[in-house]
Amino acid sequence: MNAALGTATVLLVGNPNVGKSTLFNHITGARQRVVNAPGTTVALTEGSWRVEGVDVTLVDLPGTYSLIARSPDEQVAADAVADPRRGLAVVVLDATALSRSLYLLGQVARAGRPVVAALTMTDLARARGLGPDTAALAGALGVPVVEVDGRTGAGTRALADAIASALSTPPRVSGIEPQAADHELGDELTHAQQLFDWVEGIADAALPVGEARESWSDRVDKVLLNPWAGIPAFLAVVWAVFQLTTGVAAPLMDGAAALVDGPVTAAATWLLGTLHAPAWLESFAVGGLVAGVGAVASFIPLMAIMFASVTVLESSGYLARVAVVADRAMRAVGLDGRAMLPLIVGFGCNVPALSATAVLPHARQRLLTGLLVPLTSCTARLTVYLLLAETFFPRHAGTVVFGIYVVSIVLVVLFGLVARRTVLRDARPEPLIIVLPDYQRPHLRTLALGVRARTVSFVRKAGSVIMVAIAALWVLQAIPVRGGHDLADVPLEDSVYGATAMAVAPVLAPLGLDDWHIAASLVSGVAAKEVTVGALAQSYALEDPAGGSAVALEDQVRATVEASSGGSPGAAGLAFMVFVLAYLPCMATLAEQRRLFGWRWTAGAALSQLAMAYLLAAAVFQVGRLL
Amino acid sequence: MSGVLGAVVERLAGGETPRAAARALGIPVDLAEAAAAECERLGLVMRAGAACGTCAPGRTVACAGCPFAG
Repeated sequence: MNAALGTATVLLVGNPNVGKSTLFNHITGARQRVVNAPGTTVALTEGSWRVEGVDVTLVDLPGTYSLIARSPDEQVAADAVADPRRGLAVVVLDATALSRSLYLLGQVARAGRPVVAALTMTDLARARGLGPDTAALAGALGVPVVEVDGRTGAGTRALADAIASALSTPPRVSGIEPQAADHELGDELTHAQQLFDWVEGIADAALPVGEARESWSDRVDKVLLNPWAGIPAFLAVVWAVFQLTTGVAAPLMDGAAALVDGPVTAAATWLLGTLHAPAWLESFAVGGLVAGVGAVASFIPLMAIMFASVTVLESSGYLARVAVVADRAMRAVGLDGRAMLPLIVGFGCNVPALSATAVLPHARQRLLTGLLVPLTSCTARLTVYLLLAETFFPRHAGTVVFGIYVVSIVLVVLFGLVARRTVLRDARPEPLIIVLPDYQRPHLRTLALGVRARTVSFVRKAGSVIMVAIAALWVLQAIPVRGGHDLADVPLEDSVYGATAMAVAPVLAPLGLDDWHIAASLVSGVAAKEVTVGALAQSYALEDPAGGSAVALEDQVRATVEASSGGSPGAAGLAFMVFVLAYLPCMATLAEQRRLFGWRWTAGAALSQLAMAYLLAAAVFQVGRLL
Repeated sequence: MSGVLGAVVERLAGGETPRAAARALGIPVDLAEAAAAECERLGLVMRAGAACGTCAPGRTVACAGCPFAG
């Protein structure tokens, strides 16, 4: 046994799926035991192997692509390689992805380990024309390289010979100086640069010269990532999504609304009647919950189609391209490109988008992006746009909703520009660098799972947040403020809810929306945007318990706005949508903003946003009524 | 940044995939992919879909209703 190494422990190191464990199993057979890595719950397999008369303990380390660990498994591998008490490392190289394997080998050598290389998958590599020249590889590395096949055991005797020789004369990799472990990012980056240059040199020496051809993914990218074609293409895609969503979903929504308002309402009424439930309970259950939740539930088919579209765009790799194109546009106007990803997330839900601002390195950039996030139109607001677009612009609903999203993007850019040139003048824009995947055809199963998960998530929220909010609104509707009524037996206009809504409604007159139903839905929407449509439906249902279906809701909204706008319902409908887009974030978003940026920035931004939304919506109505 | 790692990152910043970067630089595809992966470990680049920190490793209440939360 050699004294220089002091131990006959040999580490088996390699990337995941290179055949490392297959080789280990073939070599050690039944002579294995499972142990926990020191101080962890990560299981390691050790086996004994007799090499040229010497007993060797072979340790099968978890597969990793790098010694800069990202998981407990990878950390165990990194720690084992860095442990100066450990001896020889057998690095398993994948011949079909040799450069990637060589980078890990370089890191192992830099950690001071003597190395023997075991080359796997050579048959597959040669079949693809990628087969390395093993002798040239060994010459360039300066250490033994042995072709092995863990499935058949081919090459294991030669590997044993190489290990026996290495135990007596530790082989060192050419061109790499052993270093202490890195702790500074700058050191790690410098060493990574050096190692990749080293890998390129080894690959040049050992790999055949390949001729890479342009793929169809590259050809598509030439168009979709082109600065002039990329943004129009994106807008066209979004427009098509809304056309598809509104066109296909309309009959499904009508069906869902008819189901809720017909059999579901009848069943609830029958059940409560059978149980001799008091009138207030029937009012709460049928007029409150069924009307409110049912109005939102009728959007489920539409949301499913929307989620399917987003999932297709996401899994095909297109959404990542959008981030790259938008990044360039953002930087062109002086905004930080890395803000794009939180803002894109904001179009799903503002709350996680605020959390995602953590990817930005500077506090001022996080603040600027966090203040812009509420202007990105989340999917909860989509239900309001769709109701209003179908009500006022039934033949162009998709285009109108698309237009609202364009307004959302324009507001983000304008607000960003104003902030960049005023309160956040010292923020420094930097690019977003994203690793783009090749385009992929979405798998049907993945698509189905994604749509199901997202739709269930939407339904759960409709079933929890909205139900709680509707219940709270019903309580407010049951408390009298005038007229000497009893609790829970009060006309809507004399309740806390109705009186508050009626007090707010005149403020909305310049928007053409001076109506208490609308005022009530907007105030309720601050709790959660999903509540807006439900509150609107509930207010009509409680006022007129004989009211109709979701189609009737559209008719009721149209009649209300027709009256409040003085005969310009289209202009008032647009103003309604613009106001919903920008007026105030929901409570969860406000709470997250306050947590991240403090109440002063949150309150200031919310009030500015409210004022801007009011002025913008008023302008839309006042100009629109003249056209 | 310099060397092959810097060249790959420059290509990625220009909106190329690792495969396209490898072709343009005349290096093996797995070398470009390894460079991209190592830069991601070092926090220099982002992988598509890794934007929202609340989505990983587990979903939170904040993700309810978010279409980007699988």
